[in-house]
Amino acid sequence: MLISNIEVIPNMRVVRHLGLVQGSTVRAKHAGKDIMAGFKNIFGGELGAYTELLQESRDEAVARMSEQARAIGANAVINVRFSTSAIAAGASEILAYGTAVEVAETGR
Amino acid sequence: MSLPDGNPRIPEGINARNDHPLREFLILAAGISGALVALVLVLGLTAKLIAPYIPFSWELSAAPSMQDLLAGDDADPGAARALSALSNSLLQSSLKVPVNGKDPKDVAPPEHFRFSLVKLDYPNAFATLGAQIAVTEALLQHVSSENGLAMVLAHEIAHVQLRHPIEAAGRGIVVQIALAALLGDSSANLLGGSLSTGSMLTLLSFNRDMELQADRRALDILRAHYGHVGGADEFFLDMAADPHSADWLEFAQTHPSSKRRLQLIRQAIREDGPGDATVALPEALQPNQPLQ
Amino acid sequence: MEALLQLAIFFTLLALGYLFGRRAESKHYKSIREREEQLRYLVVLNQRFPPPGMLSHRTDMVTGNVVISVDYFKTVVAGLRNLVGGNLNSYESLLDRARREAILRMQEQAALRGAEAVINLKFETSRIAGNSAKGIGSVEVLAYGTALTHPDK
Repeated sequence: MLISNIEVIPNMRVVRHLGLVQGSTVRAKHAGKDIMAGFKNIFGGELGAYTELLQESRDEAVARMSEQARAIGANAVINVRFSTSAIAAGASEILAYGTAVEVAETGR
Repeated sequence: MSLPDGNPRIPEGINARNDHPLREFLILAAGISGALVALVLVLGLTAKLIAPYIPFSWELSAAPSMQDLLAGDDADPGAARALSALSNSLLQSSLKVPVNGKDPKDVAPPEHFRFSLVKLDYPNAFATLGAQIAVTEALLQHVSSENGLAMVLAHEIAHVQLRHPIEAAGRGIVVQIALAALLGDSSANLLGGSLSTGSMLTLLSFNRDMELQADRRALDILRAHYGHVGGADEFFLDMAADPHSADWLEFAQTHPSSKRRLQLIRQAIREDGPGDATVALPEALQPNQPLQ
Repeated sequence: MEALLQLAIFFTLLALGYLFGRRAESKHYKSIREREEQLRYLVVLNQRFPPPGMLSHRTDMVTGNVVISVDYFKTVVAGLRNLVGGNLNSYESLLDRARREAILRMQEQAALRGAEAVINLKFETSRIAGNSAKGIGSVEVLAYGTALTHPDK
């Protein structure tokens, strides 16, 4: 599955548009990591646990978006956008959405 | 490049799982309550093991004022003085009874004990962090001799010398954290909130083992002080005489297994024999003194 | 006694939340699926430029928003899940519904104008205050885009 956040894929041409696909996920870390993050708030610095959490969520969201695209017969998703929102304390929602397309290689 | 005929028919269950929500709930609830019970047990046990080794000075610095917690007015100064005098002489006698093989002076230095009489209209007595002991004025109406009151005071002194307040505080904090976690408090509040309320709980949450332990020690203190334990059951008998009264219910709630304790005390009286006559209450503490 | 009462209240709320929440959710999903089928002809894409055949179409911005509240059961399950970590399934279905509903409302607005397609779709999700100290109270999802209408219409 080709994922791109521009509207074209170099050396490829869009054969047909299939429509909007989206993947979203809400994830949380276990309480221990939440508490450690609470302490870290005192000293500052990178919150490794939450960096990891958001990265995992983003991967999961992209995976779900790709799954939707695959289910409708696409082989690429273009113009992908992310949106993040804090849904609850210690949990955040990541949304990835884009246009599912079928692409083919352009003959040079 | 052209528009599709219509929006795609995307299968369900990709962004929102079709699992039955009850299943997830049951698995989570069972797993977490199991873990919590184990955690509380382990930490409660740890509190019990560690309590005797916590320096008494730490306990003093952590203790909130009993006066603030009970929010009762000061009682008649004459009565308060008489209560302090009786308490302090009991305290001196208690120093002759070792605590688990240790000198009570080292466990809880007697100079730190504070006794107070508070103007509250339900009969009760409390011991909390920092060797603070309080007796309510209403309790005086339920004892007819000094020995009866001495039993109550010795019981609270025993709690402090056995380090029950610090143990209960530790356990209270653990239970608080567990409950807060279970009810879904965010972890940030979890730590802050529990530390402040944990000490309040110590007023209420001595368990039955602690109460029985304190009773046994209190009887020893009475033996050391009066040479017998006669009259030790006065307060209990008087309270239990009316098991449906609001006072009794209130008392039973903060002091578990009262029946079992009464049995223990009466058994001790039987074994020791009736002993010498009981001593009359100091005049300032007698119930015919005007209350309020 | 007091603790028992609190426990009873908790379980009553839990049961109510479960029964009503689950009924509302399945009803909502049913209605979403029906309306998605009806509005299937109105294509929604998130590309920024109109396709070649529609370069002279009229453009209008269309929006659709929805605020959906969480039920007590979902809050409790999410609270438990928060301790362990992992996917908060109960919130995921909530957001899935909210997002699809927002798109549908946007499509309905576009349909009123007689549009043929909506392009450059964007989403905005925000948490609305409420019992926000414990998990979410409710979420708002806004979907907005540009409707393309044939100039003759």
